[in-house]
Amino acid sequence: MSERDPVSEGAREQILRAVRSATLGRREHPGPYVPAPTPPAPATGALPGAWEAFRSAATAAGAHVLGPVSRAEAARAARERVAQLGSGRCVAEPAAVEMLGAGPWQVAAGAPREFADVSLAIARGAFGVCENGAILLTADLAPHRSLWVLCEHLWLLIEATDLVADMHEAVARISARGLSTPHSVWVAGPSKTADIEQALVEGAHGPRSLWVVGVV
Amino acid sequence: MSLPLDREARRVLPDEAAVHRHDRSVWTLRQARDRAAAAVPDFEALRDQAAAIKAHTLDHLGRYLEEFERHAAERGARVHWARDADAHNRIVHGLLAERGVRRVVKSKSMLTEECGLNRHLEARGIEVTDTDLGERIVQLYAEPPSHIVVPAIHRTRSEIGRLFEREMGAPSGESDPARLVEIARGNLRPRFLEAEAGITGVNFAIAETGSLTIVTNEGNADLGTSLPPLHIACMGIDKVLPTLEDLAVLLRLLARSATGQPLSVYTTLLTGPREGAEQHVVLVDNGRSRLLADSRHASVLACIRCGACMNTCPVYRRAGGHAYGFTPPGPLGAVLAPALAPTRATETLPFASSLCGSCSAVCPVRIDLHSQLLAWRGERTAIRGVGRLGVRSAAWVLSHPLALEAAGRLARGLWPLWSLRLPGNPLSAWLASRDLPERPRESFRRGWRRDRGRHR
Repeated sequence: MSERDPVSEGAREQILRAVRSATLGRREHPGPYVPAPTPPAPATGALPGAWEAFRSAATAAGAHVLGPVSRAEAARAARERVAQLGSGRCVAEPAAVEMLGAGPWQVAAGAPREFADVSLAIARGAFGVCENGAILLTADLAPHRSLWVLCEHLWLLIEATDLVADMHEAVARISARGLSTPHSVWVAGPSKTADIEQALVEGAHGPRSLWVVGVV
Repeated sequence: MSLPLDREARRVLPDEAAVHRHDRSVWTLRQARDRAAAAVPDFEALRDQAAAIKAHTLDHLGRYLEEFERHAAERGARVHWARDADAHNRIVHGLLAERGVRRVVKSKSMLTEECGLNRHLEARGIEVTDTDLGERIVQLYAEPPSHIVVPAIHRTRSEIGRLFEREMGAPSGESDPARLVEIARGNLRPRFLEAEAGITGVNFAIAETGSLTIVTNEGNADLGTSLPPLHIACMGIDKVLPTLEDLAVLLRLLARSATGQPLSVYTTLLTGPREGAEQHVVLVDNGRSRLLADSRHASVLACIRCGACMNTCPVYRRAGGHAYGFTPPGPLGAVLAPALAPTRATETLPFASSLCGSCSAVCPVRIDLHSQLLAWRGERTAIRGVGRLGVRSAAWVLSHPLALEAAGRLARGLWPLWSLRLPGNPLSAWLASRDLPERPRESFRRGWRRDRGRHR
């Protein structure tokens, strides 16, 4: 436990006291908390139609979706993408290199700021979410968080059967596998903004394009 | 009676074209929300669930705050408590000053807006860059956001082009949104790389894990928290949720209600600092515990800041966010302002509403916003002087039939005067965009007595 500073400590007691006195005796929801209903067993990925549902949601979010393809095909497609982008630097998270094998990509290493010049980043996601087309990037498979936001273009790999139906299933899997530490990020589509007259523009601060590749 | 919001609205959106443009932009978001809601079969059940989760959490807020604090600390975050805006600002400045930080990138946070953090830090020589594009635009204009999701919705592309020409060296006459975004991207990228600290708001804090959830479309919060060695997260005490399961419910509602996306582009769950970095969380009360004690109005603390109530509000859509003189604006602001910042002006905000209930109908956590607006009217003495006399006289006239008859006759007699567009005419606000109808030949009551048999 970290030590607390005395000013904040006084405030802490005062705030908690005020909160407790505010909620005292106004119990419309007495008794122990009943959590949200337990989601169905996570077997979505194996269901027929799951990949199509995911593909359609990810496409709607602005991603280019490829697959399901074999590892060899995924590696070939990744090389093509690198060639397409020209001479820029290409960096892959270790777990993605494990999946694709060696190629025209460096294995990610170094301080967060060192990825500022990356043209293409490749990472492996933990799973996809069918209802919104998001991919969860976790610290075990994708530890270099700045890499996949600083890069010009992003290429994400998942096992095509690693899909959950919705966010309820998604957080159940995060809880079960302890995936929230120190980061877990859902990425749905390329970085975007509509802050100028509601005109949708891709490539706000992060990647200008996102490719999602399902591997079998 | 002309309300401050009425007068401000005419300044903010000066002509019918501006009103129409603003109305259209905002309504687009409402329509997107409707499509997204219709695409989820259990959307209404999700809203029920979200309302129950929030009600439960607020009722046991003390417990969940302590639980969050304990788990966040176990993961290596430092948790600070601030009773008011000033304490919050001093804590944040202290953290920055201790580490000699001069340059900060900040992602969107309505709380730091509420606390006036930027002013506080800038006065002490710290450069704050708001990194959400809309926030950056209003920061460069030195004005508050006019919407909580799209802060610069009141600005046109040509205005933003001129701003970027002045501030970022954009070519003269540039007004293409894609090229303007590109210019801002290039302008802000070095600031991300050079920043010594990142400040963010918090969408949800999870008690069971000590996690922070931060949602953006641009990726600015991810850059701001993954590059600098110091992350300061500022949150109101109303932002805590018990579990990750609860988070799932709220996340399914948030983006759909805000922009119609099933999920925002980046939904970031941070549990403890990353290796070699520091993470601080500032828990801010600033009037929230007082509001929590007010059983009539406490439920507004359930708000998840999606902006749906603004997008649907006929008053907000035609008035613009700046007309409210309070951040956040819209129906949410009109019920928050009298509680968090009671002044003569903010206490009139609940009167600037048609009470149509559209806000309550779209609220993802089912806050009874329109009932609260009505309740505030009874609780605050915003009708003062002539206004109050008018209401009392009207009450007396309406409860005395002969007086009502006489008043009606008088009003019909003076009819030609009512239509004069002159200062002093109590109907002038109404006449600004309408004509007076033809003078009725007789009173409604008399016509009713004569005709009612005929239409049966």
